[in-house]
Amino acid sequence: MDLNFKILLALLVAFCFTGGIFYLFMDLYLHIYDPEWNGIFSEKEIIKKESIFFIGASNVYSIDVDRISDELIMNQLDYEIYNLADMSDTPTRRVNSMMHLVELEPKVIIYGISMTDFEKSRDYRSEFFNRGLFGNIVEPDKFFVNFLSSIFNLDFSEKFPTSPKDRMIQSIKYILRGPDYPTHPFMNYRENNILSQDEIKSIYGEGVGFRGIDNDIENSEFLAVNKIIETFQSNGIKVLIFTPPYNELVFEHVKQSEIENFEKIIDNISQRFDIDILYLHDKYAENEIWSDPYHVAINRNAQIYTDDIKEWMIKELKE
Amino acid sequence: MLFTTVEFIVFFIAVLTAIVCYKNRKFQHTLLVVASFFFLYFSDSYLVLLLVYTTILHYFIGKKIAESTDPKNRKILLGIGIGGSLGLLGFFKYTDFAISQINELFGVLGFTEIPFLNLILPIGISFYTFQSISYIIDIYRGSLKPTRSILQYGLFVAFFPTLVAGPILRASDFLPQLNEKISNLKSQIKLKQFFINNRNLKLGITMMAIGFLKKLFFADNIAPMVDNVFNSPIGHESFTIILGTIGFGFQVYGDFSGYSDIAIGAALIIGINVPPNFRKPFFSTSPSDFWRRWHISLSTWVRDYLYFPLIFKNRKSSQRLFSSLFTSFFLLGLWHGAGWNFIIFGIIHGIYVAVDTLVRKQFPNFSKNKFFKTKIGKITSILITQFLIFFAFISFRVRDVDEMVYSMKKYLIWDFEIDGTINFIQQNEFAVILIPIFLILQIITLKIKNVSERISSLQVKHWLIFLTIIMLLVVLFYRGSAEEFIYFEF
Repeated sequence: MDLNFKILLALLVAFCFTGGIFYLFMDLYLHIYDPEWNGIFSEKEIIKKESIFFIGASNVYSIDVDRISDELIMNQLDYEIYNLADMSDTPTRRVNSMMHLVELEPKVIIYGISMTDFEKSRDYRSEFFNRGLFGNIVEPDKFFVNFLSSIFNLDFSEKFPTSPKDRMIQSIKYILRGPDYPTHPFMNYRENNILSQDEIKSIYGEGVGFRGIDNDIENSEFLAVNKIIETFQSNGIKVLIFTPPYNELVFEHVKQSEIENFEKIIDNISQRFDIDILYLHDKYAENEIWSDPYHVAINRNAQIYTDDIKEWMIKELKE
Repeated sequence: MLFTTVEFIVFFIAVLTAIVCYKNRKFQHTLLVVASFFFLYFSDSYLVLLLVYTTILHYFIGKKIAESTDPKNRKILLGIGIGGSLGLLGFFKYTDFAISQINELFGVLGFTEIPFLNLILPIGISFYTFQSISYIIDIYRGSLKPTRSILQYGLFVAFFPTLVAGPILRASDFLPQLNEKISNLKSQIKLKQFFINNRNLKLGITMMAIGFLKKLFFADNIAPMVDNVFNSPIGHESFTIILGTIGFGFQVYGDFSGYSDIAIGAALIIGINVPPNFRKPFFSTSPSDFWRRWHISLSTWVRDYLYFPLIFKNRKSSQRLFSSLFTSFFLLGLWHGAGWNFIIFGIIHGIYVAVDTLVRKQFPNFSKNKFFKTKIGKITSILITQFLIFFAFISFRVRDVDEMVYSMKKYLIWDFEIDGTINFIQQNEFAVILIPIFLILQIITLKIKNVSERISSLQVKHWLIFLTIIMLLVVLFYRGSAEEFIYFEF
């Protein structure tokens, strides 16, 4: 075989192998997570109680489950609560690890369903044509991305987790010494700063946008939500749903009709599965509790989010 | 177009495929010129016109200087060439900085502020300006004959692997590589045919892989720790500042030498040799030695086109030596960017090198002392030199003067507090682990010479393992979005 060809073949093999390992590792953590695991190098003991899982994307993550747990105990509700929110999580991604959650036999699953879960995907073809000839000439990088993406109907940025490194390090740490924060295993649960509304606007003003709600009932995310809830309920797991909050900057880019469309989708889920919903998506828009437009800060001055969830949970669990 | 993007990979594969498929010499050369200008146009849009302007200006100025026999005319032409491109560089890079200084100065006297122009810095302008200036100066000095083909000159100025962040090429190295003699007769010189040979392909890919590892695995993953220290350094303990400084030194080295490795590797695959830009700078034994190992293409440019002409008239005067070095380094600092921090960076290095040179000159027996030839002596020299070099890096990283002074104080006068540092290490453990790993790799590659060549001479199956490990490290520890190359700003 020609050596040049061998070299290219080696490159291709390395590329495919790396791609395979990457794909495997990015979701591995979700599939092997076990609240009782403490890592190879740890000998901590866990007292097994009935458990409650929070699931959803990173906007669910700042809910302080230890604080809720303490309050629940005071109300004679003794549960071990875990916040299993994961970065860039979507219903279609969560379907892949759904059966693993069922095997862990939680009593209740509290699912944060976000407006962005049903956001329309980017229409590269329209963007390409809407930019016009001059727009495409002046910004060739955007032209290239829109053109290729419209041909192959691909958006790489939406296919991969935001930070493979974070996921990889979490996986390694998890295997060696168990999660850093046992009740918040998938992301770093560290206090971060609250930004003022002005700071949020000046830092994130240009990066925020919303493409609108995809109302199609055949929408894959909508079908995935239904499947997840059906599976949990059929396995005797109580499901509660809430809508995670957004900062007012996001709402500047969302039409009222889009918010109504989102609420219709959630109402539909509520009626179909007989689930109570806690609507928080626009509740704290103007509060000073944000680390960025999509995330309530992990901060003692931003506990209102946790406290509202806590009150609602106590009420729901006592019913 | 960043080397670390899918767009670059698609672009590079397309260029290589076209070179392999169509072997017509003229086509290959034209393709490389068009691809190079497209490469810049992709990121810089209409500002690519500045590159077109520089190319045309210097091509014709070079030609006219060579044709002219009148020394006065030659001088005027050289002045037009240098002024024409430095003026452009100065306008885009330094105007807003100058306005801010004028406003500050006259603001005290109650004058109205001049509005900023908010100019976008054209990508690579500092690099291609210096490259094209060296071309006309070499012709002026008679050490280079101008190329007769604007296509070849265009490829020299705009050659895409080195276009946006160097290494800064010399026409005397580059242009001869575009031709080949097909017999001993001079008239038989023809345009070089580009083809991809096994050695170059394997070595080029190896160098690119090492470059990606340095940039995406090391530099980009050390960067958050450095940002955590220097985005707001006031309040940090001495050891945290030192850790951040060391981290930044490794980050900027990994970032820039990684870029250079990718550029050299990409050029080599096409069949063009580009000289190295770094030679283990963290093992330099003096500040002068450091500049023989760090950003070599810039330091030799400054030496040949600035320092030598300045010192030429009176080599023996210590005062002249000091002022020439000082001026050269001042401008070298300013080349990096419009900001007092870069000027301070240049001045610090100017003082280092000037003192180093004067000490060697005044006390020749001191530097020849046997102690410096021993292992301990060498290690001592390296440690002292690095302590000084890293100190200067603080001014490279911290733009705010108060924060810079605070960081420098903490670097020099230790407070011996450790609680905050321990907490900081716990919060940045991955980056902290990478620093010694990077250092160990540097030591290993210092002992084993020509690592890239050795790796590329491995059997394909073993080479495949190397490639897979690098790819896994790069992909699995990718931060999610590649940091822009630091030297893109310059």
